[in-house]
Amino acid sequence: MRPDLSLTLGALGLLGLAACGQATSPDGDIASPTGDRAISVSAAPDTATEYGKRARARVFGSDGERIGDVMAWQGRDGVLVQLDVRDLPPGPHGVHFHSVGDCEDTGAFKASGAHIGVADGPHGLLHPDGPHRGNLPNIHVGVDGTAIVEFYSNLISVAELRDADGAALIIHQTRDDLQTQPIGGSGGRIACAPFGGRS
Amino acid sequence: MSTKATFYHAGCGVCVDAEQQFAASLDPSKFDIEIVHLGEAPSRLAEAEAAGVKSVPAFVIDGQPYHINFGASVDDLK
Repeated sequence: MRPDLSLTLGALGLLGLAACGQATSPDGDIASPTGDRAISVSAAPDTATEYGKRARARVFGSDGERIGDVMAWQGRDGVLVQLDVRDLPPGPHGVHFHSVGDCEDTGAFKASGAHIGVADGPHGLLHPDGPHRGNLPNIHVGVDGTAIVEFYSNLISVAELRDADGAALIIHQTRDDLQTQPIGGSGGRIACAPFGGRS
Repeated sequence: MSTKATFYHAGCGVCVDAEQQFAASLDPSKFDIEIVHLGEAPSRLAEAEAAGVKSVPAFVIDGQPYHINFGASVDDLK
């Protein structure tokens, strides 16, 4: 499914406001305001019947240690992703949903497959013929190695994250330029969070 | 007789740079050069992996893989 650019622009403003007032508590509930970053992407699968469902995953670093948590909440037309991580290199990092919920090959994380939607068109939120449905905005890790980020995507659904082979949220080594192929120059995979599937 | 040299890439920035710096620098009288964009020719992925290519950009010269920096894993293309 190709993104609806008009929806994207509208959602950016709305979700930026919404996410600035929420953060992830340790149990995955929406907690008190923290004012962290929020960006959104768009396109609209029929997810109304899944509204309110959620998927949770632990985030594992390249040494296999747990370095955080991620929660995906199904909204009316998309998914709110809440990511809370630590012990990462400071700076920007590409983040994508990959097609298999398998992070067992610690360090490489290749078992998580390619981006969800890799066969549907080019990678990149800013690519004129993109994006992949698994594409997400970059996160920015602070000098203390932590990041608490929320973003919204209606390219994806919680049902897809929890399908038979699951899905994985992958954090890459460097920034995704959101345009070039096949991964925006974002480098290797440094963290992995398996939803469903094999974890 | 020229040596077969296949340059595998996926359109990434590192790939384009490698193509300009290396693939274009090989002597065509010594190498039979083929450039394969795996994003546009995914049917060639199996062949690249069989030759030992794990990431792009990479050369396979006379059957041996040579990886140049890191643009993306082959797994990112499947």
